[in-house]
Amino acid sequence: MASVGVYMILKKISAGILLTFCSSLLLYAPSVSTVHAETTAGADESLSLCPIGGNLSAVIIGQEAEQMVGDSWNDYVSITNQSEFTLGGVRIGVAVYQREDDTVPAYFVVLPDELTLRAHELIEIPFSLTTTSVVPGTYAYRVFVIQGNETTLLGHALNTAKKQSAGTLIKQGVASSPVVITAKINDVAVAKGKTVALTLGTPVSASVQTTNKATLPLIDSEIRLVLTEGAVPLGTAVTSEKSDSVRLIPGATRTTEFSERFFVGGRYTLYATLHTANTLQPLVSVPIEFRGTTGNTTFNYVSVIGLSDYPVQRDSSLVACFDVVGGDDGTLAPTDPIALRFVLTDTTGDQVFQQTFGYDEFTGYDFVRVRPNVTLHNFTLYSELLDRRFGDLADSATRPTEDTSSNWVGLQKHTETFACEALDACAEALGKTVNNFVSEQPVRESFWFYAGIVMAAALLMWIMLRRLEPEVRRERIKAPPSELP
Amino acid sequence: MSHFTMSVTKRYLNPFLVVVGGILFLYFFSAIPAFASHVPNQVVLTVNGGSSAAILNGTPVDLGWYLDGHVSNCVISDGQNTFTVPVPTLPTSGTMQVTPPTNASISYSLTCTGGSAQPVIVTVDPIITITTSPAGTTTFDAVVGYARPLDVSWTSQLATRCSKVWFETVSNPGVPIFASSNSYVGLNGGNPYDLANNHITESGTFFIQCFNDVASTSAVAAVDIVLTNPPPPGSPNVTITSTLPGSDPVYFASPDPILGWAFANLQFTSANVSSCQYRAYQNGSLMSPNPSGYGQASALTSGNFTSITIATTTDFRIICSRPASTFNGVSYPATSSSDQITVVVNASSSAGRSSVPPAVVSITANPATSTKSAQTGLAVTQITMAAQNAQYCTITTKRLDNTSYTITGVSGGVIHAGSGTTTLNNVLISTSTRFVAYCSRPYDLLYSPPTSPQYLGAQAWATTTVVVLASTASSTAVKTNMYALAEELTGTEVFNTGTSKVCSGLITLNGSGYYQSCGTNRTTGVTFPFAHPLGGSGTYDIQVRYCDQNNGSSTFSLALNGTQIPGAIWTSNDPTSNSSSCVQSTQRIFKIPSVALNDGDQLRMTCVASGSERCRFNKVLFGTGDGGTVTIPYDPLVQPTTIDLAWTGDNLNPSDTCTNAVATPPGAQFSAVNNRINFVQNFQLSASTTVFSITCTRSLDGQADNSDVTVVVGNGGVPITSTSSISSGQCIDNDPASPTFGQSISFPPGQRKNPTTNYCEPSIDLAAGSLSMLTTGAIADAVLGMYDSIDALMVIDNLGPGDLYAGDQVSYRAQLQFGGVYQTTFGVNATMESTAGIGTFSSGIISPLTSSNWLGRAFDGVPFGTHTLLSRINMDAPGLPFPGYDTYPEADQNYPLNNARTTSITLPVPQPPLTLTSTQTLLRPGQAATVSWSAHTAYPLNCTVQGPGGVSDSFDASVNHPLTYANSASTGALYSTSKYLLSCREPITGTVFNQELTVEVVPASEEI
Repeated sequence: MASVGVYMILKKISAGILLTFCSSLLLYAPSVSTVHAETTAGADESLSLCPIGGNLSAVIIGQEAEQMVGDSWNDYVSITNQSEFTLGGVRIGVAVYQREDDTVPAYFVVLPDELTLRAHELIEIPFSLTTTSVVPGTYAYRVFVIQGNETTLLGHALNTAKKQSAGTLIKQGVASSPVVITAKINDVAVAKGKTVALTLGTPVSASVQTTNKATLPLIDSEIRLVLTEGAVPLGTAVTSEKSDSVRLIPGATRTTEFSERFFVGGRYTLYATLHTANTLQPLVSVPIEFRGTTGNTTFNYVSVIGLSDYPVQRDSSLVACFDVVGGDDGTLAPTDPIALRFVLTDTTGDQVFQQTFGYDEFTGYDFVRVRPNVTLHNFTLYSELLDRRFGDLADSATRPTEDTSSNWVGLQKHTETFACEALDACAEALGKTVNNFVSEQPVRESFWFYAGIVMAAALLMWIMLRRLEPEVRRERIKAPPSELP
Repeated sequence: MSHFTMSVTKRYLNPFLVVVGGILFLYFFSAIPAFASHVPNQVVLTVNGGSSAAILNGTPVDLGWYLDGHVSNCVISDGQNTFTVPVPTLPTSGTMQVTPPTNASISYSLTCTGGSAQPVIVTVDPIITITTSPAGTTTFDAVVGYARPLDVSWTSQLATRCSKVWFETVSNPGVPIFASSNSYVGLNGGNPYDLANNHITESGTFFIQCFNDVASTSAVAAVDIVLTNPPPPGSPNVTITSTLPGSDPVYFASPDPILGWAFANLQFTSANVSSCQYRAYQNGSLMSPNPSGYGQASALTSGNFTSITIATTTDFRIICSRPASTFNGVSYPATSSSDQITVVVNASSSAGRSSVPPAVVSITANPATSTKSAQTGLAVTQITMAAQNAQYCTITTKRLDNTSYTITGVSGGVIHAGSGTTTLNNVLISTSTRFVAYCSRPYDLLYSPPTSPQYLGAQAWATTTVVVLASTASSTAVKTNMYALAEELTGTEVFNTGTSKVCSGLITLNGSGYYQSCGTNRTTGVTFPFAHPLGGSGTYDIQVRYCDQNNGSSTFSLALNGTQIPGAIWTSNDPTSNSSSCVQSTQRIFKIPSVALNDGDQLRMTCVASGSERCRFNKVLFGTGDGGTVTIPYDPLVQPTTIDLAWTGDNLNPSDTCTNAVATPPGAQFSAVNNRINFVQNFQLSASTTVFSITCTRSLDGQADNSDVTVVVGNGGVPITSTSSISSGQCIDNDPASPTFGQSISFPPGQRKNPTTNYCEPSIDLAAGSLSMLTTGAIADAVLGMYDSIDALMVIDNLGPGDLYAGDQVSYRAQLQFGGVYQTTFGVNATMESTAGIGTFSSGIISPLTSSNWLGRAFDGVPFGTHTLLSRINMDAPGLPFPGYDTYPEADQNYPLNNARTTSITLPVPQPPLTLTSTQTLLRPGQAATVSWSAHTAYPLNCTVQGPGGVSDSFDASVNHPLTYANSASTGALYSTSKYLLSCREPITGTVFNQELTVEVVPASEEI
């Protein structure tokens, strides 16, 4: 344990030094702007890359061993916010695949926890999943995390599956509670893996049947149908979606109808995902192709929304970053006529800040930044990506107005609740903000002084890290619901 | 781009987890089997396989149920009807088909003895109709290049909003062409589709989608139109003819002997064209403007022109055309056609006109002296003008100071006949006025020599003066009426809902629907009900807004339940009415004061029309509370509290206004002009007492009147909105009979707060459920004889009816109770609290669950032996004050009845530290060894040591506590194997611990 403690201290020191190093670079070089260049609203013209993301990367550890499970799967998920921003409304999804190279999961679950992570915070979340719907066999699995609802989680999983390594899950026993989901498109049953070919202009009527073939009822469940352009239901790709309750006695079937008539052509995909709390459930995907047509290939979505400080201070910034599904690598800035709306609501339900950004304000950038100029501890942050879909093509409105509001469709609607009391170190966050501010000043004085410290410390740290056990960080641990209070 | 790292951390090799896993293994396979056989009660109700279903109106649904555990007497109910669910053997499931009532949402519940299911809800999809006029098909108009205007109308029920209407063509389905006009928004509507922006050039379908955001339902309605293509358009043609003497293309007209002009007439027809232009030429030159009586240009493609005034021979030419169009794949270019005739005017000599008599005119006023009305400030007179030998006359009016003064219908360019007598009745003037008649014969002024007699006689003038006197009578007082609990019926509503209609008709004038008779000089009648806003009764002023035109009179009468209402007969013959049309200035209001009305009373309006009037009325207002107080009940189930208001002014003039200078309450800024019935529906009240005020002012004399109506929300209740906060331990009283109805009150006995509505509702009963002690993780102290980390496991049972809502906090605790011997022996108190003290359960017990999950309370320092374990829930019931743990308001307030449970637990005496050793365990015969023994407990433990060789001891192991008791003795010479026994007995439980020692004696041997 002692070695772990030393490791953590050194890790923090090194992180601090590295942070100082980066800060010194920024402050020393006069051509690079800092946070002081923030505007009170609108895009920050001094930067062109998402200030939240930076050079962060996702790391998956601990999946090297096989998971042997029966009817339940108990383990921990460790989440780290490596950014300098507080991120709210974070959700976790677990996807199970027939094969490791699959991108479409065979089973999927979104954990109920909705998390707020402060800058550089690590949280371990225990989970206990029911796996009775999983047919015995060997699977690959991945865990995903993003701010958003079930659709966004699914889209994120589909979008990044190839970029994440997978663990192995071995389900033992028998499938004691199988749930079967089938789909019909325009009254024709869809065979697994087959693409439905249609003529553009044909309305799509989907009928999804969820059948409970177990001997116990299936309760408190929801089936979510998402029709998306392409294969990844993120942001502007989402054509429409529908949720329907599922409560089935043994042998019963729920039929969920879904229809859409407006298509631009090309390829679409219908996903039907069943959501039961803490239960891996099967999902169905139906590729749809409109013969002889090509559709959109790139779609915008909001990849992350962060607060520069939490609790929110007068000079705090609210930042939203965009990403692109499809297109060439390196395409970051939004390509569609989209808008983004923020609403901050205090605990009394009053809107304390509201602003809608048109795409003319972030053309060429992959983010927007705004300073709400309020102080808030407990509040909700609502965000909505708006996509212009109807109306005159020559319409030059860059954001919804009273006259054109019906031409804009709200997508990726997301509400993040920030409750100061729910965070262990809310007061600490206030102090942290002050410390960061104070630490900036001396960094300006000498570049080579700090560069030397950093290089020496980095060398020492590298030597010591190689001699220490791997770290297990548990800054905040939440008890699983099955544990005794 | 990802901003998180994530890992699934392996812990299988962690020794601690191995231990915990072992404990859990033992837990599940040793302690729990006693409970494993317990099947929890499960009651599930479904509709169409879900918790809700959205259906087409009138279609059936499948209700399904699943029952298990110990449940019985199960009933499905929709609030009106019940169905007993058969419960043969459990588990069981089944389905039934029901058809919900139409046009409304409904909830079904399943309640059993032993549990109830979460209810299911059936909502009805919005019902939409969309139609076109003409319906079904429309024809492409080859002449204009698109389909003729098409009306699209829609209606919806059970919807909260609708999309705009959109159109999809057959050649491009799935591409919506939305109506751009905002008039295409609403739950109901109808307009010509946006032809200005979206010409319909092919067949397609109109769509509209309506949503119910409350029930989360939606529906789409569509109507097809088939655009039929006509044959290719024919060649354009146009034909002009005249009834004058002559033949095409030359006709002849003679000048009028008095007026000098020739008057021509012509008719034209055309085909396959969309518009025509009219041209006239004299002496080969295009006339501009055209001669009087001949149009300039028109989309009309046929017509008649009469009395075209010409002085000389004139060519009339009409050119008709159509634009380019494309249909059936063929393009047709723009094209046109024309025709022309000549009207030859027989020559007239100006010299021959010298005998034309001069124009003459006279004008008189009756009375020539008139007194102003005190109320209107206007005097009335009659003007008579007689003219001869003129083409037309005009009248100019001026005040006596010679300033201009225009009188509608008299002066200001109004053309009067140039021959004969003109009488102008009811001429209203506000000041002394001079009337100047002027008649002329323009032909002579244009074409005769200025010195000729006919020129000099071409004009005539006459003058008369009307002297206006100030009123000597006092004016009728202005009266303002401010009403609450008002009801308004429009003329359209009377027509659509009325019964026993006689000669009834409906006409739209200036955007308002007027009930009217089916013809002139007819008697009409209609019966319609009075609907009291609260279904009650009251004394109401009835005000009818009707049209009093000056081209007839109508006599109205109003009867109540077959009996004529006294004073409710009036005739529309106001002499100041100045128009033959139903317009603002001819609208009047008749007031019938103080009529006692009950909800559902039948009113019958009859009217005898005379002249060209048509008994028109467009509003019937019922108002009460003027100058007084209106009390309405407060219903917390209907939010927000609203009221319908209305106000009118009596004895005002058309341009007078009513207003409240200060908006009291906020948002109630009223204003209106006279002759209007002003009606505001559903004004939201935000206070228990609200005063609405309005002032009407007559501008003529500045006389004003103010009226208030005070609206009091009954029961002393202050409207509580859904956003109001309810204090902890309180709920909204929703018992209409309660004096605190609508107020936030402390929980009444046996009631709690519904978390959704905040209303008080019957609570549930809780009980302390299963209770046991888990010792598999216990850590024993052998010396002290006590255990740490002993877990009491308990559950909270929900006895119903209904759920324990998540968030409702129920306290729970565990205690150990010890007998006196333990208190003496171990110094423990009579009762021991768990280390964590009192816990709070707030996860809810939602059907089909009837019990909470296991709730654990740990104990440390528990002595061995048999004790009583006590669980208690909902702690701070009367007599058990535990500040900070609010008592959950159970249905059964007798908390001691079932809120505690006890069980007996036994903890074994932990193995005490005992030692019994020997210096040697193998001896040769005759050898001796030293046997040593020790024991150490903190509690009495009676021990003896016995063995051969006189080894014997008796002691209490706690005698040296905190030190260990130890002793030893020599065995003496031993010749055979000997056994020594250390035996200790715990006196409370009788538990005996033995420790044996064997000293072997091996035979002596000699090596040979």
